[in-house]
Amino acid sequence: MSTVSEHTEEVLPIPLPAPAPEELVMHLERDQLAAETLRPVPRAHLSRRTELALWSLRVFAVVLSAMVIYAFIAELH
Amino acid sequence: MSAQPATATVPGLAPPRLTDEDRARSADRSRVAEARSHDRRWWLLWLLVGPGILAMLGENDGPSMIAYASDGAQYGLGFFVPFIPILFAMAYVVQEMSMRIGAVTHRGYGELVLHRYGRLWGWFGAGDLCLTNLITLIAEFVAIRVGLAYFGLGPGVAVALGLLLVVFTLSGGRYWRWERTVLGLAAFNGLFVVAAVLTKPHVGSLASALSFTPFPHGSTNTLLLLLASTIGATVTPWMIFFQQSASADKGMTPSDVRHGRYDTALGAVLAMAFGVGALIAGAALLPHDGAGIQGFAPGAGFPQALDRVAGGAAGSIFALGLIEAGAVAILTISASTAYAAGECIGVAHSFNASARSAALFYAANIGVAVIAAVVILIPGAPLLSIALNANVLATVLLPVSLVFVLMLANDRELMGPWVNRMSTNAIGVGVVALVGLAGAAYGVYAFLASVHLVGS
Repeated sequence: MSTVSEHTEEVLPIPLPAPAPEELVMHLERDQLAAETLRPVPRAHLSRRTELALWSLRVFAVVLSAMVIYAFIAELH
Repeated sequence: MSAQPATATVPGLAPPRLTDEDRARSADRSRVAEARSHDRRWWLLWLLVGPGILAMLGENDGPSMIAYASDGAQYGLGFFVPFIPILFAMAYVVQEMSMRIGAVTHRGYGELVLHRYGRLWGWFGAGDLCLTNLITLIAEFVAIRVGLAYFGLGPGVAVALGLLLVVFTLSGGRYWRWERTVLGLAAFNGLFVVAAVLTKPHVGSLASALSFTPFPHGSTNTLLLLLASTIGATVTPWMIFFQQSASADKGMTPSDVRHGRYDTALGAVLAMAFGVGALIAGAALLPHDGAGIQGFAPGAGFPQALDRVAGGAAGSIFALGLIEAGAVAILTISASTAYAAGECIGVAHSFNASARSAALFYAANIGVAVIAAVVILIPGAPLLSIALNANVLATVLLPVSLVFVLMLANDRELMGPWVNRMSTNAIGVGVVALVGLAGAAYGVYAFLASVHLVGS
């Protein structure tokens, strides 16, 4: 089994959404091939505001989950 | 049936190394290509439906159908008959995005979040999924146990049935076989409509319920739980993981997006109709102390109550429906866990791959079901509470998954011309806000009630 870490050096361009018919390989678009789908897509650049918003959302979800789980355990007792 | 494969190489790229997974997917795609070239529309639709219907009917699972029946038994039809379709419309918007991302990028949700936004966010998402999936799977086994208890069968049979189904559906080594087997099982979700008809509902009360009245009454905590669990019965994190990964595994491409939308819409309509069926069946119990029924209690749940009120046929059909709902959900939720595990670790993750080449995928698929099955055999385990809280936890964790779906669907580098329209984004943001508010309101109120700062 090949892993993503083996391919970290060779980041290929992101798959094109609408490949031309001549790019078909055995009825598959090239980026549908199993070997191709194990290659990582390039990392997106997130602005500081987006990062902050994502962290806020994550904290919100963790705190809320903790509350629900606490309430669930308290209800058991 | 299959057309001659068209093989070509792309200038500048090395010749591809084909695996068994590629060959299996190629065979499926050749049938799609042939149907398209011969303009066989209905055959093409038949070939391309699957992930959408399975995501929607998979979410019509044991806890969800019990939740709908409980809504009917406690509050009647008012409010819920129009509310459930609204929730499925929300689910359509979310699932259409998942399908579109999977068809355009050929990647699952877990791997795209992990690669595009970093390991931390990818593993957070996978962690949320594993937690909610494990709890939901326990609830599915409980639902099967409730259904089987009506026929005098014990929890051991529920465990054996669930695990045998997982192993059986995995044994083919083909996505197509897995999908069609589960679709065949999912058709029996329609039993809830049969159960509803057998309760002889009053057509006039159905029509009057469309006016959103009467609004459910009760304590704030009860109403918030009701709202959160009903939302959690319709849109959940596993559906997002599942439909995107299954669309990629099926081999869908941008040219299939239109049929993917038909598939998702058909799934939403069927799931809504069957969910309303469970609601109507439950509503037959309203005048018979319906509020006092413990939906997940073996020997005292909805099948027995319907048996007393509407006859043995209604009870039997509802019990069979619960068994089906639990069984299909075990298959789809285990699959979503396996996809997420394979995608995040970066190993083969496809039903088209052999067990040897995708060992982790197959192990995760079976392993998560085995863990859930073991829990329901533990004497004294709080199964009823787990089952009742499964949907709520899914609602609380859903906003994070929804935000990443919206980000991916708006990522022009990934999606090209297939990015969201403004209207889809507006609805998507509305869904995130509603789900977030409902989850937050319930979570905060339940916590304050548990520390006696507000009345429960």
